[in-house]
Amino acid sequence: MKGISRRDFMKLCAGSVAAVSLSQALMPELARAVPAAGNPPVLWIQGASCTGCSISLLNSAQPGVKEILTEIISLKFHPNVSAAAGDLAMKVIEETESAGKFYLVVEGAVPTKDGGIYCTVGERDGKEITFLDRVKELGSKADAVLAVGTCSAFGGIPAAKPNPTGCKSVSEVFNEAGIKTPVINIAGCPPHPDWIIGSLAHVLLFNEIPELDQTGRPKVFYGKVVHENCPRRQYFDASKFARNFSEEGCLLEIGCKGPLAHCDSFDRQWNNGTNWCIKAGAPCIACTEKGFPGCAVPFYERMEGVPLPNITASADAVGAVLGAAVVAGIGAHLIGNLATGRLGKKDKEG
Amino acid sequence: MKGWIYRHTLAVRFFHWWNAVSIFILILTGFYIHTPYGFPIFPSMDVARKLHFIFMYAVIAGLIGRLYYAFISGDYKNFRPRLLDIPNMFKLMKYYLFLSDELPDWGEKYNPGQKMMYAGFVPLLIIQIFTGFVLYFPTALNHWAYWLGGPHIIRIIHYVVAWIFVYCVAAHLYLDFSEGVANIVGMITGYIPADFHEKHRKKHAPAVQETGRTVQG
Repeated sequence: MKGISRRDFMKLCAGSVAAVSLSQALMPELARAVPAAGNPPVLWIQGASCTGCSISLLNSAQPGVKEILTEIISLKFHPNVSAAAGDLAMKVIEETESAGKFYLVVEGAVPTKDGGIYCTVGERDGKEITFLDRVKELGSKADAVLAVGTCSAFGGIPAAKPNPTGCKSVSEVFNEAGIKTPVINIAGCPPHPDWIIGSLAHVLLFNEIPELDQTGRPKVFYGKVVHENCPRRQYFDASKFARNFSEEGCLLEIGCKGPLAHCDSFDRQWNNGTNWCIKAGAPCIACTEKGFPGCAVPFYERMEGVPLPNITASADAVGAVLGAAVVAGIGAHLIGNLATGRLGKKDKEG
Repeated sequence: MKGWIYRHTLAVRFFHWWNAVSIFILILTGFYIHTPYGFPIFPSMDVARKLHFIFMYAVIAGLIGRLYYAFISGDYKNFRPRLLDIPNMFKLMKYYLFLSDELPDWGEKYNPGQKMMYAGFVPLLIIQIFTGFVLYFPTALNHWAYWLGGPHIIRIIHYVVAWIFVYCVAAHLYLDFSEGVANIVGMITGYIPADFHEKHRKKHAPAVQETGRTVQG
Protein backbone atom coordinates (compact mmCIF):
# COMPACT_ATOMS: atom_id res chain seq x y z
CA MET A 1 0.00 0.00 0.00
CA LYS A 2 1.57 3.22 -1.14
CA GLY A 3 1.13 6.33 0.92
CA ILE A 4 1.05 8.65 -2.04
CA SER A 5 -0.90 8.44 -5.27
CA ARG A 6 0.71 8.96 -8.63
CA ARG A 7 -1.46 12.01 -9.11
CA ASP A 8 -0.34 13.57 -5.84
CA PHE A 9 3.22 12.78 -6.68
CA MET A 10 3.04 14.57 -10.03
CA LYS A 11 1.35 17.52 -8.36
CA LEU A 12 4.11 17.63 -5.84
CA CYS A 13 6.76 17.51 -8.55
CA ALA A 14 5.15 20.15 -10.73
CA GLY A 15 3.75 22.39 -8.05
CA SER A 16 5.21 25.55 -6.68
CA VAL A 17 8.46 24.34 -5.28
CA ALA A 18 10.29 27.54 -4.54
CA ALA A 19 9.61 27.36 -0.82
CA VAL A 20 10.43 23.72 -0.27
CA SER A 21 12.83 21.64 -2.26
CA LEU A 22 11.29 18.61 -3.85
CA SER A 23 13.51 16.23 -1.98
CA GLN A 24 12.50 17.85 1.28
CA ALA A 25 8.82 17.48 0.46
CA LEU A 26 9.19 13.95 -0.75
CA MET A 27 11.45 12.69 1.96
CA PRO A 28 9.02 11.62 4.69
CA GLU A 29 6.64 10.12 2.17
CA LEU A 30 9.36 8.21 0.44
CA ALA A 31 11.03 7.05 3.59
CA ARG A 32 7.73 5.59 4.73
CA ALA A 33 6.55 4.19 1.42
CA VAL A 34 9.77 2.84 0.07
CA PRO A 35 12.33 2.29 2.77
CA ALA A 36 15.74 2.00 1.23
CA ALA A 37 16.37 -1.41 2.66
CA GLY A 38 13.68 -3.05 0.56
CA ASN A 39 14.26 -0.98 -2.55
CA PRO A 40 15.73 -2.20 -5.76
CA PRO A 41 19.39 -1.27 -5.69
CA VAL A 42 20.76 1.55 -7.80
CA LEU A 43 24.09 1.49 -9.60
CA TRP A 44 25.56 4.80 -10.64
CA ILE A 45 28.28 4.71 -13.30
CA GLN A 46 30.23 7.54 -14.89
CA GLY A 47 31.68 7.77 -18.38
CA ALA A 48 32.72 10.80 -20.39
CA SER A 49 31.54 13.27 -17.78
CA CYS A 50 32.82 16.03 -15.54
CA THR A 51 31.10 14.67 -12.40
CA GLY A 52 29.06 17.86 -12.36
CA CYS A 53 25.79 15.92 -12.24
CA SER A 54 26.92 14.09 -9.11
CA ILE A 55 28.01 17.38 -7.57
CA SER A 56 24.60 18.80 -8.40
CA LEU A 57 22.91 15.89 -6.63
CA LEU A 58 25.23 16.28 -3.64
CA ASN A 59 24.12 19.91 -3.54
CA SER A 60 20.60 19.08 -2.44
CA ALA A 61 21.17 20.53 1.01
CA GLN A 62 17.77 19.99 2.54
CA PRO A 63 17.44 17.24 3.67
CA GLY A 64 20.81 16.44 2.31
CA VAL A 65 22.21 13.78 0.16
CA LYS A 66 23.04 11.55 3.11
CA GLU A 67 19.36 11.01 3.88
CA ILE A 68 18.57 10.51 0.24
CA LEU A 69 21.20 7.87 -0.08
CA THR A 70 20.47 6.09 3.15
CA GLU A 71 16.71 6.42 3.39
CA ILE A 72 15.42 6.34 -0.18
CA ILE A 73 17.93 4.99 -2.58
CA SER A 74 19.74 1.80 -1.94
CA LEU A 75 22.79 3.03 -3.78
CA LYS A 76 25.15 0.11 -4.25
CA PHE A 77 27.85 1.86 -6.18
CA HIS A 78 28.85 5.39 -7.06
CA PRO A 79 32.35 6.21 -8.30
CA ASN A 80 32.68 9.29 -6.09
CA VAL A 81 30.58 8.44 -3.07
CA SER A 82 31.30 4.77 -2.54
CA ALA A 83 33.86 3.93 0.09
CA ALA A 84 34.70 0.70 -1.70
CA ALA A 85 37.36 0.75 -4.36
CA GLY A 86 39.21 -1.66 -6.58
CA ASP A 87 38.21 -5.32 -6.57
CA LEU A 88 35.73 -4.77 -3.77
CA ALA A 89 33.82 -2.16 -5.81
CA MET A 90 33.86 -4.33 -8.92
CA LYS A 91 32.50 -7.19 -6.86
CA VAL A 92 29.60 -5.05 -5.64
CA ILE A 93 28.68 -4.18 -9.22
CA GLU A 94 28.85 -7.79 -10.31
CA GLU A 95 26.80 -9.01 -7.38
CA THR A 96 24.13 -6.40 -7.96
CA GLU A 97 24.09 -7.23 -11.64
CA SER A 98 23.74 -10.95 -11.13
CA ALA A 99 21.04 -10.52 -8.47
CA GLY A 100 18.95 -8.67 -11.08
CA LYS A 101 16.14 -6.15 -10.55
CA PHE A 102 18.17 -2.98 -10.19
CA TYR A 103 18.16 0.51 -11.65
CA LEU A 104 21.09 1.96 -13.51
CA VAL A 105 22.09 5.61 -13.47
CA VAL A 106 24.46 6.64 -16.23
CA GLU A 107 26.33 9.90 -15.98
CA GLY A 108 28.37 11.03 -18.96
CA ALA A 109 28.40 10.17 -22.64
CA VAL A 110 29.58 6.84 -24.00
CA PRO A 111 32.75 6.97 -26.15
CA THR A 112 32.22 4.42 -28.92
CA LYS A 113 35.10 4.97 -31.31
CA ASP A 114 37.76 2.25 -31.58
CA GLY A 115 35.68 -0.15 -29.52
CA GLY A 116 35.11 2.36 -26.75
CA ILE A 117 38.77 2.27 -25.66
CA TYR A 118 38.74 5.99 -24.76
CA CYS A 119 36.94 5.33 -21.51
CA THR A 120 37.64 2.33 -19.34
CA VAL A 121 35.99 1.70 -16.00
CA GLY A 122 37.83 -1.12 -14.31
CA GLU A 123 39.36 -4.47 -15.03
CA ARG A 124 38.13 -8.02 -15.32
CA ASP A 125 40.60 -10.89 -15.54
CA GLY A 126 43.38 -8.44 -16.24
CA LYS A 127 41.51 -6.89 -19.16
CA GLU A 128 40.10 -3.39 -19.25
CA ILE A 129 36.34 -2.99 -19.26
CA THR A 130 35.27 -0.22 -21.57
CA PHE A 131 32.47 2.08 -20.52
CA LEU A 132 30.66 1.11 -23.71
CA ASP A 133 30.61 -2.55 -22.67
CA ARG A 134 29.67 -1.63 -19.11
CA VAL A 135 26.68 0.41 -20.25
CA LYS A 136 25.48 -2.30 -22.60
CA GLU A 137 26.02 -5.08 -20.08
CA LEU A 138 24.38 -3.37 -17.11
CA GLY A 139 21.85 -1.56 -19.28
CA SER A 140 20.48 -4.74 -20.79
CA LYS A 141 19.85 -6.20 -17.34
CA ALA A 142 18.57 -3.12 -15.51
CA ASP A 143 14.86 -2.49 -15.03
CA ALA A 144 15.27 1.08 -16.20
CA VAL A 145 18.11 3.43 -16.99
CA LEU A 146 18.31 7.02 -15.86
CA ALA A 147 20.55 8.96 -18.21
CA VAL A 148 21.49 11.76 -15.83
CA GLY A 149 22.85 14.87 -17.47
CA THR A 150 22.82 16.07 -21.06
CA CYS A 151 25.95 14.02 -21.88
CA SER A 152 24.36 10.66 -21.22
CA ALA A 153 20.91 11.82 -22.36
CA PHE A 154 21.92 13.38 -25.70
CA GLY A 155 25.72 13.31 -26.01
CA GLY A 156 26.23 16.80 -24.70
CA ILE A 157 29.65 18.40 -24.57
CA PRO A 158 31.72 15.21 -25.16
CA ALA A 159 29.71 14.57 -28.34
CA ALA A 160 30.05 18.13 -29.61
CA LYS A 161 32.07 18.72 -32.74
CA PRO A 162 34.60 17.39 -33.57
CA ASN A 163 33.84 14.52 -31.17
CA PRO A 164 37.14 12.66 -31.58
CA THR A 165 36.13 9.79 -29.28
CA GLY A 166 32.78 9.14 -30.99
CA CYS A 167 30.73 9.94 -27.88
CA LYS A 168 27.08 8.94 -28.00
CA SER A 169 24.09 9.12 -25.74
CA VAL A 170 22.86 6.10 -23.81
CA SER A 171 19.74 5.79 -25.94
CA GLU A 172 21.79 5.86 -29.14
CA VAL A 173 24.02 3.10 -27.78
CA PHE A 174 20.94 1.11 -26.76
CA ASN A 175 19.33 1.57 -30.16
CA GLU A 176 22.42 0.36 -31.95
CA ALA A 177 22.82 -2.61 -29.65
CA GLY A 178 19.11 -3.43 -29.76
CA ILE A 179 18.69 -3.03 -25.99
CA LYS A 180 15.07 -2.38 -25.06
CA THR A 181 15.51 -1.14 -21.47
CA PRO A 182 13.54 2.09 -20.99
CA VAL A 183 15.73 5.18 -20.70
CA ILE A 184 14.75 8.34 -18.85
CA ASN A 185 16.71 11.33 -20.08
CA ILE A 186 17.30 13.73 -17.21
CA ALA A 187 18.92 16.43 -19.27
CA GLY A 188 20.70 19.46 -17.90
CA CYS A 189 24.23 20.62 -17.54
CA PRO A 190 23.98 19.83 -14.70
CA PRO A 191 20.42 18.63 -13.99
CA HIS A 192 18.67 20.01 -10.94
CA PRO A 193 18.85 17.60 -7.97
CA ASP A 194 15.04 17.61 -7.87
CA TRP A 195 14.90 16.35 -11.45
CA ILE A 196 17.20 13.45 -10.59
CA ILE A 197 15.53 12.57 -7.30
CA GLY A 198 12.02 13.18 -8.61
CA SER A 199 12.53 10.84 -11.56
CA LEU A 200 14.24 8.22 -9.45
CA ALA A 201 11.52 8.46 -6.80
CA HIS A 202 8.85 8.05 -9.45
CA VAL A 203 10.47 4.89 -10.70
CA LEU A 204 10.92 3.52 -7.17
CA LEU A 205 7.42 4.42 -6.00
CA PHE A 206 5.38 3.32 -8.96
CA ASN A 207 7.68 0.85 -10.69
CA GLU A 208 7.15 2.63 -13.96
CA ILE A 209 8.85 5.42 -15.79
CA PRO A 210 7.27 8.89 -15.70
CA GLU A 211 5.58 10.35 -18.76
CA LEU A 212 8.27 11.40 -21.21
CA ASP A 213 8.38 13.96 -24.00
CA GLN A 214 9.57 13.24 -27.54
CA THR A 215 13.20 13.42 -26.51
CA GLY A 216 12.72 11.12 -23.54
CA ARG A 217 12.67 13.71 -20.76
CA PRO A 218 10.08 13.60 -17.95
CA LYS A 219 7.33 16.00 -18.99
CA VAL A 220 6.77 17.12 -15.44
CA PHE A 221 10.20 18.78 -15.33
CA TYR A 222 10.84 19.60 -19.00
CA GLY A 223 7.37 20.45 -20.28
CA LYS A 224 7.73 24.21 -20.37
CA VAL A 225 9.77 26.63 -22.43
CA VAL A 226 12.01 29.00 -20.49
CA HIS A 227 11.23 32.00 -22.69
CA GLU A 228 7.47 31.66 -22.15
CA ASN A 229 7.86 31.58 -18.38
CA CYS A 230 10.74 33.98 -18.02
CA PRO A 231 10.65 36.62 -15.28
CA ARG A 232 12.14 38.99 -17.86
CA ARG A 233 9.41 38.23 -20.38
CA GLN A 234 7.74 41.64 -20.04
CA TYR A 235 10.98 43.22 -21.20
CA PHE A 236 10.89 41.08 -24.32
CA ASP A 237 7.28 41.99 -25.11
CA ALA A 238 8.06 45.67 -24.60
CA SER A 239 11.24 45.40 -26.69
CA LYS A 240 13.57 46.31 -23.90
CA PHE A 241 16.78 44.38 -24.50
CA ALA A 242 19.97 44.29 -22.48
CA ARG A 243 22.91 44.98 -24.75
CA ASN A 244 25.48 44.28 -22.09
CA PHE A 245 25.63 42.06 -19.06
CA SER A 246 24.04 43.39 -15.88
CA GLU A 247 21.75 45.69 -17.87
CA GLU A 248 18.03 45.76 -17.36
CA GLY A 249 16.02 43.98 -20.03
CA CYS A 250 15.52 40.75 -21.94
CA LEU A 251 18.77 38.86 -22.50
CA LEU A 252 17.96 37.73 -26.06
CA GLU A 253 20.37 40.15 -27.71
CA ILE A 254 23.24 38.86 -25.60
CA GLY A 255 22.56 35.31 -26.64
CA CYS A 256 19.79 33.95 -24.41
CA LYS A 257 18.55 30.62 -25.83
CA GLY A 258 15.44 30.62 -23.63
CA PRO A 259 13.09 30.37 -26.65
CA LEU A 260 14.31 26.85 -27.39
CA ALA A 261 15.10 25.59 -23.88
CA HIS A 262 12.84 23.39 -21.76
CA CYS A 263 13.09 23.16 -17.97
CA ASP A 264 11.35 24.42 -14.83
CA SER A 265 14.20 26.37 -13.27
CA PHE A 266 12.12 29.56 -13.44
CA ASP A 267 9.81 28.04 -10.81
CA ARG A 268 12.08 25.66 -9.01
CA GLN A 269 15.25 27.75 -8.87
CA TRP A 270 18.61 26.41 -7.82
CA ASN A 271 20.59 25.95 -4.63
CA ASN A 272 17.44 25.37 -2.61
CA GLY A 273 15.42 28.14 -4.17
CA THR A 274 18.12 30.79 -4.02
CA ASN A 275 18.41 31.87 -7.62
CA TRP A 276 18.67 30.64 -11.18
CA CYS A 277 20.53 31.47 -14.38
CA ILE A 278 18.38 34.21 -15.86
CA LYS A 279 17.53 35.81 -12.54
CA ALA A 280 21.26 36.04 -11.93
CA GLY A 281 21.66 37.84 -15.26
CA ALA A 282 23.12 34.95 -17.22
CA PRO A 283 21.54 34.19 -20.61
CA CYS A 284 20.07 30.70 -20.89
CA ILE A 285 22.38 28.36 -22.82
CA ALA A 286 19.69 25.71 -23.42
CA CYS A 287 21.67 23.09 -21.51
CA THR A 288 18.70 20.73 -21.33
CA GLU A 289 18.26 20.50 -25.11
CA LYS A 290 19.13 17.63 -27.36
CA GLY A 291 21.41 19.75 -29.52
CA PHE A 292 23.38 21.23 -26.63
CA PRO A 293 25.97 22.68 -26.91
CA GLY A 294 25.86 22.87 -30.74
CA CYS A 295 22.39 24.45 -30.78
CA ALA A 296 23.43 27.16 -28.32
CA VAL A 297 26.83 28.35 -29.52
CA PRO A 298 28.04 31.06 -29.50
CA PHE A 299 26.51 31.32 -26.02
CA TYR A 300 26.53 35.11 -25.99
CA GLU A 301 25.35 35.84 -29.51
CA ARG A 302 21.84 35.89 -30.86
CA MET A 303 22.38 33.63 -33.84
CA GLU A 304 24.95 31.16 -34.98
CA GLY A 305 27.16 31.99 -37.96
CA VAL A 306 26.53 30.42 -41.34
CA PRO A 307 29.47 28.24 -42.36
CA LEU A 308 30.62 29.12 -45.86
CA PRO A 309 33.75 27.82 -47.60
CA ASN A 310 36.72 29.16 -45.62
CA ILE A 311 34.70 31.73 -43.68
CA THR A 312 31.91 31.80 -41.18
CA ALA A 313 29.65 34.77 -41.76
CA SER A 314 26.70 35.88 -39.73
CA ALA A 315 23.36 35.27 -41.38
CA ASP A 316 22.90 39.04 -41.33
CA ALA A 317 26.07 39.57 -43.34
CA VAL A 318 25.06 36.94 -45.90
CA GLY A 319 21.64 38.53 -46.28
CA ALA A 320 22.99 42.05 -46.55
CA VAL A 321 25.70 41.18 -49.08
CA LEU A 322 23.22 39.40 -51.32
CA GLY A 323 20.76 42.26 -50.78
CA ALA A 324 23.39 44.75 -51.89
CA ALA A 325 24.05 42.57 -54.94
CA VAL A 326 20.35 42.58 -55.82
CA VAL A 327 20.14 46.34 -55.42
CA ALA A 328 23.31 46.82 -57.48
CA GLY A 329 21.96 44.46 -60.15
CA ILE A 330 18.65 46.28 -60.32
CA GLY A 331 20.41 49.64 -60.44
CA ALA A 332 22.72 48.55 -63.24
CA HIS A 333 19.82 47.09 -65.15
CA LEU A 334 17.81 50.27 -64.69
CA ILE A 335 20.66 52.29 -66.19
CA GLY A 336 20.81 49.83 -69.07
CA ASN A 337 17.07 50.09 -69.53
CA LEU A 338 17.24 53.85 -69.71
CA ALA A 339 20.29 53.78 -72.02
CA THR A 340 18.66 51.46 -74.53
CA GLY A 341 15.41 53.31 -74.37
CA ARG A 342 13.40 50.28 -73.28
CA LEU A 343 11.75 52.18 -70.49
CA GLY A 344 10.67 55.21 -72.54
CA LYS A 345 9.48 53.14 -75.46
CA LYS A 346 6.38 51.73 -73.88
CA ASP A 347 5.18 54.98 -72.47
CA LYS A 348 5.31 56.63 -75.86
CA GLU A 349 3.74 53.77 -77.74
CA GLY A 350 1.46 52.49 -75.06
CA MET B 1 -12.93 46.66 -74.02
CA LYS B 2 -11.23 46.81 -77.38
CA GLY B 3 -7.47 46.59 -77.52
CA TRP B 4 -7.34 45.00 -74.11
CA ILE B 5 -6.98 41.41 -73.12
CA TYR B 6 -8.19 39.80 -69.95
CA ARG B 7 -4.99 38.48 -68.34
CA HIS B 8 -5.75 37.81 -64.69
CA THR B 9 -8.96 36.32 -63.37
CA LEU B 10 -10.52 37.73 -60.24
CA ALA B 11 -9.27 34.82 -58.12
CA VAL B 12 -5.69 35.27 -59.34
CA ARG B 13 -5.83 38.98 -58.53
CA PHE B 14 -7.44 38.40 -55.15
CA PHE B 15 -4.88 35.85 -54.05
CA HIS B 16 -2.06 37.94 -55.49
CA TRP B 17 -2.88 40.92 -53.32
CA TRP B 18 -3.85 38.82 -50.30
CA ASN B 19 -0.49 37.06 -50.37
CA ALA B 20 1.39 40.21 -51.32
CA VAL B 21 0.11 42.06 -48.26
CA SER B 22 0.71 39.05 -46.02
CA ILE B 23 4.24 38.46 -47.24
CA PHE B 24 5.07 42.15 -47.05
CA ILE B 25 3.95 42.38 -43.42
CA LEU B 26 5.61 39.08 -42.56
CA ILE B 27 8.91 40.36 -43.97
CA LEU B 28 8.70 43.65 -42.07
CA THR B 29 7.64 42.10 -38.76
CA GLY B 30 10.14 39.29 -39.27
CA PHE B 31 13.06 41.65 -39.61
CA TYR B 32 11.87 43.54 -36.57
CA ILE B 33 11.67 40.31 -34.55
CA HIS B 34 15.14 39.41 -35.79
CA THR B 35 16.72 42.72 -34.88
CA PRO B 36 14.40 45.01 -32.92
CA TYR B 37 17.03 47.70 -32.51
CA GLY B 38 18.44 47.37 -36.00
CA PHE B 39 15.06 47.68 -37.72
CA PRO B 40 12.95 49.71 -35.29
CA ILE B 41 9.71 50.11 -37.18
CA PHE B 42 7.25 48.67 -34.68
CA PRO B 43 6.45 49.96 -31.19
CA SER B 44 7.17 46.68 -29.45
CA MET B 45 7.98 43.03 -29.86
CA ASP B 46 4.47 42.22 -28.72
CA VAL B 47 2.89 44.13 -31.62
CA ALA B 48 5.35 42.78 -34.18
CA ARG B 49 4.94 39.21 -33.01
CA LYS B 50 1.14 39.39 -32.97
CA LEU B 51 1.12 40.78 -36.51
CA HIS B 52 3.59 38.11 -37.58
CA PHE B 53 1.37 35.39 -36.16
CA ILE B 54 -1.83 36.82 -37.66
CA PHE B 55 -0.33 37.15 -41.12
CA MET B 56 1.33 33.78 -40.76
CA TYR B 57 -2.16 32.27 -40.74
CA ALA B 58 -3.25 34.66 -43.49
CA VAL B 59 -0.48 33.56 -45.81
CA ILE B 60 -1.20 29.88 -45.09
CA ALA B 61 -4.84 30.48 -46.02
CA GLY B 62 -3.68 32.40 -49.10
CA LEU B 63 -1.35 29.63 -50.17
CA ILE B 64 -3.97 26.93 -49.73
CA GLY B 65 -6.56 29.04 -51.56
CA ARG B 66 -4.21 29.85 -54.41
CA LEU B 67 -3.19 26.22 -54.85
CA TYR B 68 -6.81 25.09 -54.72
CA TYR B 69 -7.76 27.64 -57.35
CA ALA B 70 -4.77 26.66 -59.52
CA PHE B 71 -5.79 23.04 -59.57
CA ILE B 72 -9.53 23.38 -60.01
CA SER B 73 -9.30 26.07 -62.69
CA GLY B 74 -6.42 24.56 -64.61
CA ASP B 75 -4.33 27.63 -63.84
CA TYR B 76 -1.51 25.32 -62.73
CA LYS B 77 -0.89 24.63 -66.44
CA ASN B 78 0.59 28.11 -66.72
CA PHE B 79 3.39 27.00 -64.43
CA ARG B 80 4.07 23.59 -65.91
CA PRO B 81 7.76 23.28 -66.71
CA ARG B 82 8.54 22.53 -70.36
CA LEU B 83 11.75 21.47 -72.06
CA LEU B 84 11.43 24.63 -74.13
CA ASP B 85 11.84 26.67 -70.95
CA ILE B 86 15.57 25.98 -70.91
CA PRO B 87 16.49 27.62 -74.27
CA ASN B 88 13.84 30.26 -73.59
CA MET B 89 15.46 31.06 -70.27
CA PHE B 90 18.73 31.77 -72.08
CA LYS B 91 16.94 34.03 -74.55
CA LEU B 92 15.26 35.84 -71.68
CA MET B 93 18.56 36.32 -69.87
CA LYS B 94 20.15 37.61 -73.07
CA TYR B 95 17.34 40.14 -73.32
CA TYR B 96 17.70 41.20 -69.69
CA LEU B 97 21.47 41.53 -70.08
CA PHE B 98 21.00 43.72 -73.19
CA LEU B 99 22.71 41.11 -75.37
CA SER B 100 19.65 40.88 -77.55
CA ASP B 101 16.70 43.10 -78.19
CA GLU B 102 14.22 40.40 -78.96
CA LEU B 103 11.99 38.21 -76.92
CA PRO B 104 10.55 35.03 -78.36
CA ASP B 105 6.84 34.36 -78.23
CA TRP B 106 6.61 32.16 -75.14
CA GLY B 107 3.38 30.66 -76.33
CA GLU B 108 1.95 30.75 -72.81
CA LYS B 109 0.98 33.20 -70.11
CA TYR B 110 4.33 33.63 -68.38
CA ASN B 111 7.95 33.70 -69.47
CA PRO B 112 10.23 30.99 -68.00
CA GLY B 113 11.66 33.40 -65.42
CA GLN B 114 8.20 34.32 -64.18
CA LYS B 115 7.15 30.68 -64.08
CA MET B 116 10.18 29.78 -62.02
CA MET B 117 9.78 32.60 -59.52
CA TYR B 118 6.02 32.42 -59.05
CA ALA B 119 5.99 28.64 -58.75
CA GLY B 120 9.09 28.89 -56.56
CA PHE B 121 7.14 30.87 -54.00
CA VAL B 122 5.20 27.69 -53.19
CA PRO B 123 8.13 25.58 -51.92
CA LEU B 124 9.66 28.65 -50.27
CA LEU B 125 6.42 29.32 -48.42
CA ILE B 126 6.16 25.68 -47.41
CA ILE B 127 9.70 25.87 -45.97
CA GLN B 128 8.75 29.04 -44.08
CA ILE B 129 5.54 27.51 -42.77
CA PHE B 130 7.32 24.38 -41.57
CA THR B 131 10.27 26.15 -39.96
CA GLY B 132 7.98 28.86 -38.63
CA PHE B 133 5.71 26.38 -36.87
CA VAL B 134 8.66 24.55 -35.35
CA LEU B 135 9.72 27.88 -33.85
CA TYR B 136 6.15 28.79 -32.91
CA PHE B 137 5.48 25.53 -31.03
CA PRO B 138 8.86 24.90 -29.44
CA THR B 139 7.54 22.20 -27.11
CA ALA B 140 5.10 20.25 -29.24
CA LEU B 141 7.29 20.27 -32.35
CA ASN B 142 10.65 20.14 -30.56
CA HIS B 143 11.63 16.79 -32.03
CA TRP B 144 10.80 17.98 -35.57
CA ALA B 145 13.57 20.53 -35.27
CA TYR B 146 16.11 17.71 -35.19
CA TRP B 147 15.10 16.50 -38.64
CA LEU B 148 17.03 19.46 -39.95
CA GLY B 149 19.77 19.53 -37.33
CA GLY B 150 18.18 21.37 -34.43
CA PRO B 151 16.23 24.49 -33.56
CA HIS B 152 19.20 26.76 -34.24
CA ILE B 153 19.40 25.49 -37.82
CA ILE B 154 15.64 26.00 -38.16
CA ARG B 155 16.07 29.65 -37.18
CA ILE B 156 18.82 30.18 -39.75
CA ILE B 157 16.77 28.51 -42.50
CA HIS B 158 13.74 30.65 -41.63
CA TYR B 159 15.87 33.77 -41.72
CA VAL B 160 17.77 33.00 -44.92
CA VAL B 161 14.59 32.07 -46.78
CA ALA B 162 13.07 35.36 -45.61
CA TRP B 163 15.92 37.12 -47.39
CA ILE B 164 15.21 35.07 -50.55
CA PHE B 165 11.67 36.44 -50.40
CA VAL B 166 13.10 39.95 -50.20
CA TYR B 167 15.27 39.40 -53.29
CA CYS B 168 12.43 37.81 -55.24
CA VAL B 169 9.98 40.56 -54.36
CA ALA B 170 12.58 43.20 -55.25
CA ALA B 171 13.24 41.61 -58.64
CA HIS B 172 9.51 41.10 -59.22
CA LEU B 173 8.67 44.72 -58.45
CA TYR B 174 11.53 46.06 -60.55
CA LEU B 175 10.81 43.93 -63.60
CA ASP B 176 7.09 44.65 -63.53
CA PHE B 177 7.39 48.38 -62.99
CA SER B 178 10.17 48.73 -65.57
CA GLU B 179 8.20 46.79 -68.15
CA GLY B 180 5.30 49.14 -67.73
CA VAL B 181 2.78 50.36 -65.19
CA ALA B 182 0.18 48.47 -67.22
CA ASN B 183 1.42 45.34 -65.43
CA ILE B 184 0.31 46.72 -62.08
CA VAL B 185 -2.95 48.05 -63.49
CA GLY B 186 -3.45 44.62 -65.02
CA MET B 187 -3.09 42.93 -61.66
CA ILE B 188 -5.79 45.25 -60.28
CA THR B 189 -8.31 45.37 -63.14
CA GLY B 190 -7.37 42.12 -64.85
CA TYR B 191 -6.84 43.77 -68.25
CA ILE B 192 -3.64 44.68 -70.03
CA PRO B 193 -3.21 46.33 -73.45
CA ALA B 194 -3.42 43.68 -76.14
CA ASP B 195 -0.10 44.68 -77.70
CA PHE B 196 1.67 45.01 -74.35
CA HIS B 197 3.88 41.96 -74.65
CA GLU B 198 4.16 41.97 -78.43
CA LYS B 199 6.04 45.24 -78.30
CA HIS B 200 8.90 43.50 -76.59
CA ARG B 201 8.95 40.53 -78.87
CA LYS B 202 9.89 40.55 -82.53
CA LYS B 203 11.09 43.98 -83.31
CA HIS B 204 10.72 43.47 -87.02
CA ALA B 205 7.49 41.57 -87.14
CA PRO B 206 4.35 43.66 -87.09
CA ALA B 207 2.60 43.55 -83.77
CA VAL B 208 -0.34 41.22 -83.71
CA GLN B 209 -3.53 43.10 -83.16
CA GLU B 210 -5.72 41.33 -80.71
CA THR B 211 -9.17 42.57 -80.19
CA GLY B 212 -11.99 41.65 -77.96
CA ARG B 213 -11.89 39.81 -74.72
CA THR B 214 -9.60 36.84 -74.68
CA VAL B 215 -8.78 34.94 -71.58
CA GLN B 216 -5.15 34.07 -71.61
CA GLY B 217 -4.98 31.49 -68.96
